[in-house]
Amino acid sequence: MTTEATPSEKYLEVQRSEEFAGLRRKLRNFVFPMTVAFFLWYALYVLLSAYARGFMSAKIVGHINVALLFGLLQFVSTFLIAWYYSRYAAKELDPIADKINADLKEPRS
Amino acid sequence: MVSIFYLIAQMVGAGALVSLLLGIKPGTTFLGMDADTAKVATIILVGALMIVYVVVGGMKGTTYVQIVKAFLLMTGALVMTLLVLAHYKFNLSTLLGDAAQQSGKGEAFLQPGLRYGVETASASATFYSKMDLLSLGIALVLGTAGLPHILTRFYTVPTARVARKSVLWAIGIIGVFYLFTLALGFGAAALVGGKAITAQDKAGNTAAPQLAQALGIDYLGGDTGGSVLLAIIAAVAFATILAVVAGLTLASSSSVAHDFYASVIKRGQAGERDEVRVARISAFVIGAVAIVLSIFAQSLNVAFLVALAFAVAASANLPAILYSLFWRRFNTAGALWSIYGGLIAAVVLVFFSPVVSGSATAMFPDSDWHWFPLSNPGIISIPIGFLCGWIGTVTSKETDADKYAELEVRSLTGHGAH
Repeated sequence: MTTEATPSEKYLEVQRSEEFAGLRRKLRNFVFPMTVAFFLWYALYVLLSAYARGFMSAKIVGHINVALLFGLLQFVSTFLIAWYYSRYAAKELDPIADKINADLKEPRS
Repeated sequence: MVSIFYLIAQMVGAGALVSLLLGIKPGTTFLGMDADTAKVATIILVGALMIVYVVVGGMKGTTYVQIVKAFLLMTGALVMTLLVLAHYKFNLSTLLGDAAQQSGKGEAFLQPGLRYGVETASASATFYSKMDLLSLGIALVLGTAGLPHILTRFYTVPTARVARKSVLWAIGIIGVFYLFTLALGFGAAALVGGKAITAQDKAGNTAAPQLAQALGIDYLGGDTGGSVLLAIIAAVAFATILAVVAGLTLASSSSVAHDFYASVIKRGQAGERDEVRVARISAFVIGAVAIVLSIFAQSLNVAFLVALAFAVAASANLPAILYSLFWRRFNTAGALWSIYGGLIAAVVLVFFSPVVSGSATAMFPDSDWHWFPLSNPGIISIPIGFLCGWIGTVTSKETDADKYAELEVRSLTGHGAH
C-alpha cells in the first residue's frame, strides 16, 4: 500500500520520468530549430530590404519586384510551418501527452 | 501599458474615419462642429460604447463582437479587393505601375526604403535609418507573441489540439486578409492618389474608406454608389475598432482585477464577485484614460502607436513568457525585472527619440531633447528585457521546482485543462 502523493509530488515525478523527458525532447527538437530557421528567413527579408536595395528592386515580371515576391513568400512560409507543426504534434506529441495525462488522472497500480 | 498604446491607436483611427464619413474637411463644419471637434466627439463616443460592451458583455460578449466583425471585415475586404483587381483586369503589374504613378513618388514607391532605411549623403543618418527598419521588423514579429488581447484569446480554447486548429485557421484567414490589404493599399494609391489621401488626413489613416468611395463611384452607379460603399466599409472599420478596443479593455481590466486587486491588495482573499466588480470598475477607468489620451494623440499617425505597442509587447511580455516556459530557474523576481525593464527601456527610448522631439514630424516639433536616433526602440529594448529577466532571476534566491514542474507538465500534456 502506498500513501497518496500530493499534487506537487505527482508533477515532480512526472517531470522526472523517462516518458516526459522524451516528450519534451521531441517538442524542443521541433520548436527550437524551426524558430531559429524562421527567424533567419525573416531577418534575411528585412536585411535585404535595408542593405540590398538593387536586388530587392529588380523587376521580375512587369512592375512586380523581388521585394514583393519575398514578402509574399513570408506568408507562405508562416502558413506552412504552422501546418507542419500541427501535423507533427498530432503524430508525435499528442499520443505521448495523452498517455502521460491519462496516467496522471488514474495512477497505474 | 501595451493596451493603452494600442487603444489610443484604434481610437484616433476612429476619429479620423468619422470626420471622413461626415465629409468634414479641415475648415468646414458639421452640426456646428468643425473637423477637430467632430473627431473628439467620435473618440468619446467610441470610448463610451466600448466601456458599455465590456462592462455588460464581458468575455463572451466581446468574443461575439469579434466573430461578427471578423466576418464583416473579411467580406468587405474581399469585395473591395475584387473591385480593385477587376479595375485592373486582374493584372497585378498594371495595378502596381499605376499606384507608383499616382502616389506622387514614382518608381521609388515600389522599392523598399521610402520611409525607413533611406539612403542619404550622411553616412550616420543612413546607418540609423537602416537600423530603424531592422528594429521595426524585429518588434513587429516578436511583439505579436506578446500582445495582451491576443494572449487572453488562448484562455478561450480548451485543449492544445483545439488551439492548434484555431491557430491554423487564424493564420489562414489573417494571411489572406493581409494579402487583401496589400491590394487595397496599392489600390488606394492608384485610384485615390497620394495627394487626395493626405488631404483628408495628413497621416493617411483613412485611405481604405476613401478607396471604397472611389470604387463605389466607378462601379455602383455614381455618387450614391460611392457613398453607400463608403458607408459600408466605414461601418465595418468601426465595428473592427470597437471589437479591438473592447478586447483590449477586457484584457487590461481583468488583469487589474485578478492580478492586482485579488492577489496584491486582497492577498488572494477576494471572492469571485468582488473580482468581477473590480474588473468592471477598472474597465471604466481604463476606458476613460484612453479617451483622454486619444484626444491628445489625434495628430499622430496611428501606425506609429501600433509600432510602439508592439515594441513594448516584445520587450516586456515576451521575455517573461519565454523564460517561464523554458527556464526551470525563472522566478517572480525575474518576471518583474523583465516586464518592468523591457517596458521602461522601450518607453524611455521612445521619449528621447525623434518621434517625440527634435524633428519636423515630432509630437513637440519646437523643442528638442532627443538623443536616441531611432524611432523604433525594439532592437535595443528587446535585448534589455531579456537581460533584465536574467539578472532578476539569478540575483534572487527564490526557486520553485514544484511550481515549474506543474507548469511544465501541464503545458506539455494539457493536464488539468477541461
